[in-house]
Amino acid sequence: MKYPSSQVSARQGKRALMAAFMACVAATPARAQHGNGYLFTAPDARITLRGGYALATAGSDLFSFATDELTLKKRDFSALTGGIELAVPISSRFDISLDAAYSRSSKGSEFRHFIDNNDRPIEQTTVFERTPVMVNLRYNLAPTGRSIGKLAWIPTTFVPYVGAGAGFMWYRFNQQGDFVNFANNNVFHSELNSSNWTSAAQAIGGVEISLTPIMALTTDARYLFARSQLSGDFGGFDKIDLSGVSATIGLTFRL
Amino acid sequence: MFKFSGHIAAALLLMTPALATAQQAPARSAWEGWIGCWSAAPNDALIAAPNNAPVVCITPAADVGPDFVDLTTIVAGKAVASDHIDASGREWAYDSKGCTGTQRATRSADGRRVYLKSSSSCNGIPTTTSAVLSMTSAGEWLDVRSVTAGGGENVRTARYHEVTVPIAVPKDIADVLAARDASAQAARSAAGAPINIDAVTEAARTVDAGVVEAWLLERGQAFPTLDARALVALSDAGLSPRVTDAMIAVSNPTAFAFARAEGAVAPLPTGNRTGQVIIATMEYDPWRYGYYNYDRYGYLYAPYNYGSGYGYGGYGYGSGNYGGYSTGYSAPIIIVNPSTAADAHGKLIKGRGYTQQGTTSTSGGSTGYVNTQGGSSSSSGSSTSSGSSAGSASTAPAQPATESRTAKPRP
Repeated sequence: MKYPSSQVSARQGKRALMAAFMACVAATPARAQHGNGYLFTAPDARITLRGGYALATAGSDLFSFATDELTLKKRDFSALTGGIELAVPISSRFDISLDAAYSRSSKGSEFRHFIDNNDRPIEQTTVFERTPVMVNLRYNLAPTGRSIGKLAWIPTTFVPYVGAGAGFMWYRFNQQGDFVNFANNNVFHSELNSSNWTSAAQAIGGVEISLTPIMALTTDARYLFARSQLSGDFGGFDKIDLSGVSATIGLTFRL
Repeated sequence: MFKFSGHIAAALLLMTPALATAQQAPARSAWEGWIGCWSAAPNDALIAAPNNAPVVCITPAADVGPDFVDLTTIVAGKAVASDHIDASGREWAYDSKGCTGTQRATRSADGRRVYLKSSSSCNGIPTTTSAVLSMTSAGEWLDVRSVTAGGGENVRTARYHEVTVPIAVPKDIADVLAARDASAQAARSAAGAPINIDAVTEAARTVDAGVVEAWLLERGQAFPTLDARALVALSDAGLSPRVTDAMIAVSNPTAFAFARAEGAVAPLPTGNRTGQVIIATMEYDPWRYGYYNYDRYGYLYAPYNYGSGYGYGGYGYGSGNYGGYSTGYSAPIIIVNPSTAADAHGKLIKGRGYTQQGTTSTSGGSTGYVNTQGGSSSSSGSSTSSGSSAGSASTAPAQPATESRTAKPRP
């Protein structure tokens, strides 16, 4: 049984996140022995698993065309998102992190202005996937913790932070289903696809709330900026707008 | 030969007020638990030749004051020296054997410990001594002390256990000891009760951090209330990180490993090391390294005397010997972070063969010695090289250093 490529991508994303979570769970007890409210050493790194909602700006003409012609709204390109971030402190206030996220929207639609000769809607599904892979520099507005002697590191309960990052984003814009040939109004079945890597930048603001010596609750908001050329199946459009805002909440494991 | 009393008349009695801790002390003497005769020599050595072991007998000096005790050292059947300690917190000046300075003994607020501090100059070399005398839950006298001189600090610990009163004890002392009642044992048990964080902070205010660190590691008593909040409060109060580290280590015994820091001793200045060393006498000296020795010229090794055993075939301190006996003073316990120790990594280097790096790592500060001498320097008898050298039978709190695995040529 062959799955559509969109389903395969979704499964891969879920598997990757599950693997990351299991890796965190497995790694944490080995590294982060702790006392009553403190770690024995400052953490060497932290892994954050987060989930939330990624609001797509959907500002380019491709989205306008889609929302004009199909029963889609701009918010249909927004979706749940999940991500993982591995961060390493480089000073008392700065962390550098490698961050990957994944969001995928999938929405069925029909042509707003056409139906077929049997009065049935002309239906299709639009999938919009985004996977930014970023390197971030984070500035903690408060010290992340306090070392006492050489054998105690006490995490700060509330650490707001800001950050900025740069990297690359992979995207896929896919439409599969029935379409109207505007030249002759024929309805045809097809799959249109555009995917590519492009450069991206993001700004981050958030807060880390320590729950235990090894775990913290992290919530943040990000604005990600990216645009990319559309590939083969979509011609004549401007660069696709991959930008958006996301808000996530997650667990940080100190390693 | 009541050494110190000879200096009392000549000494300037500095009428400094007693420490607050002393003022809060209970009326009973802090020394009640200490009354008796003690030896830091290992039990097996005492059984083998009981008359040769150095023994310190402590008796009340009530005629001088409730905080005074007399200390009489008996070696090889002879009372070789006497001294006394005033635990009232008063500072005493002294001028003895080429050393001048001040000494102060203070009892803890709960009356269960005695802190010693001295500052002196011996032949132009400034020296400070710092010590905690306490009881363990097993009724041992735990003696932890450091001598600092020339920028170096050396910490030594000993566990004294009570011994039967030697025959050689003068009659007046023997009579006093014979008249002890059950309250002495009760006082000893009370003194050996668990300590709390306040006791640690008091000790840290009074004696050197290295002493408190070693004391805590020797006791091995966990502090269940030591959480992040308490640590912050202690740090903000200025408690030394060495002390907090020790508290953390003993409170999390499954996370840390402990070992006896054998061997590493501050080297003796070469100018003082000429000549063959012959120990002329050995007496318990509370103001130095527990025991005191001289070379053939009568030159006092202090302030370095405690280290002189190393390189001299076992004469001296630490785990060295005297007449076949360990003095019982050994290097302090150190914290060995298992995660770091596990990082030992081998290499094969052309011309050198296999080597190992980072086999032992310490997380401590200046007391973080590792064995660099491959074992004890003793040349005779009963010197030991591991945690049991203190002569304690039962209550070494931490894991003693294990014997290293070694190789030898095939026969």
